[in-house]
Amino acid sequence: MGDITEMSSSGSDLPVQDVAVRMESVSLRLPAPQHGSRRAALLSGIAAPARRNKAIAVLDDVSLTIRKGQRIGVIGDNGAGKTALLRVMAGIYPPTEGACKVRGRVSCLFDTSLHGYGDATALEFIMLAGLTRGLRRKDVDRLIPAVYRLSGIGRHIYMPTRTLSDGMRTRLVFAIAMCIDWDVLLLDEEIGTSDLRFRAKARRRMQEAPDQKTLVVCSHDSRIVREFCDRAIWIHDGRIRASGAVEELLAAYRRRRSGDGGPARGGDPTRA
Amino acid sequence: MRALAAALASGSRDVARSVRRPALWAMPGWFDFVLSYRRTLLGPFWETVAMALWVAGLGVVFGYSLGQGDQNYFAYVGVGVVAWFYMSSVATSSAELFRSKDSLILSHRSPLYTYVLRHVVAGAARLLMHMPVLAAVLVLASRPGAADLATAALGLGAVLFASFWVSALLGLVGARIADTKHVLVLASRFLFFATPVFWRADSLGDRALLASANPFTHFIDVVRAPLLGEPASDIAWQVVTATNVVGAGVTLLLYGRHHRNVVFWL
Repeated sequence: MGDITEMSSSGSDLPVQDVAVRMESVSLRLPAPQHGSRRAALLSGIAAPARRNKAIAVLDDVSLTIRKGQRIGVIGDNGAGKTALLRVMAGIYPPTEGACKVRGRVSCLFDTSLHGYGDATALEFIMLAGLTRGLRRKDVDRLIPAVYRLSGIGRHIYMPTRTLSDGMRTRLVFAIAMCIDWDVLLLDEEIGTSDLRFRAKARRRMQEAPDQKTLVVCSHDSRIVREFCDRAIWIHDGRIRASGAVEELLAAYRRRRSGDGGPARGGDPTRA
Repeated sequence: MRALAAALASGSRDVARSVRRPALWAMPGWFDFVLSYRRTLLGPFWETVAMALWVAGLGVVFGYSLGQGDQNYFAYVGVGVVAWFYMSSVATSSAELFRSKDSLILSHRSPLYTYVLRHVVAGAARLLMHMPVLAAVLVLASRPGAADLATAALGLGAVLFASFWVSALLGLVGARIADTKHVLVLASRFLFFATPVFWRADSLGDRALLASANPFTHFIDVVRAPLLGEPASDIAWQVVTATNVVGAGVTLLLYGRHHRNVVFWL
């Protein structure tokens, strides 16, 4: 769970209490260790010595404001910076430059990894997931039945998590992220791998969530963005290429991918 | 100087935030330990069995065959091996402390030191499973009094304290340099024989300095000597205290300076 962060209203016409996420000129550079030639390493059987580290610019001067209650889809190619954007919002990656403020409790789902708990039962997994997200024991006791109902995991709750199918695992981790009390929910791709019935259930759950709850979801899958989001951001090479209504942006993204070109940067790039 | 103070403050903040939230590390640390024994017949009691065999094996081989034996030798080797295995297992596994939890660290935000605390809890759980062996050798061989037990508990406290900063320090280095794990495994194998765990320092004669220069000798001594009915030497306590103070200080400084970079090293 993220911390509640006080935000200043400078630089925006939105009242502070209406803002869920504000990023101001955020840049992120990740270290990229450079290794010697692979052929030499293969021939010698010894890893080539690391050269001086270089940094890769993953996000470059990103500014955006997400209003409370907005459902934002983040689209873009592989390596465009979508996951990094979410990790900065989650407070996992500290920005190299700029600032990111998130108001409220954050729940994240970035992968369906079992985090080494393959031998734990699904019941234990839910408990551990709750505890490692900072819930107290009594909140974990409330989390377990909620996840059980939403995930539809049934009798598999007593099975080791390594025995769950991919779809069931996705439902389990997604349900955990959804059922933890959150103000801002950050999702990366994973919902796309679940079945239609569960997606409908998740969509209903999102629709029933109070208007003040904010969702940011990264996906390559236009269906997910259509189903869950009311606005979209297009990330390209670590920068916001465009933002706006979902259909308009998806159409521009499709045109760009098929080689017709897309909208030039500009317009309303900082307001989702 | 300002950078130094900022690093200390940043490290202390992360440690304090972690310590204040035991839900993040107490039970997860215990699960880190017990889950590795799921699906086995004996579960965590494999640790007890393995330790009993180690102590019995070393006791027999070195106590009788090589003539180091006296009536306290089983207690000597028992306490030594339990203390050594705690220190070496915590230290060597520290190199993978953050790397083994990379998916968790990159999945949601929590103070980084919670992973160090989880690691120490898992190590302490392992030590707990070795306690029946320790109790058995003490009852059979040395039967320490209440005052000796209290002094040994103080020594054990010093060993446990060291594991908090050693884990953080080696975890940090291990996250940055992938070779750390291999170096530590190698060092631990060598040090097992170079430290008076199952042999006596006084058997070195005028080369006893070799044992005295090794801090592990003193960390074992502050636990073992009282349990054998002898006071730990002043030198042992001085070395242990100085190592803990300097080690914790340096670690806090390095940790404060670099802990925010760990997510980028994974």
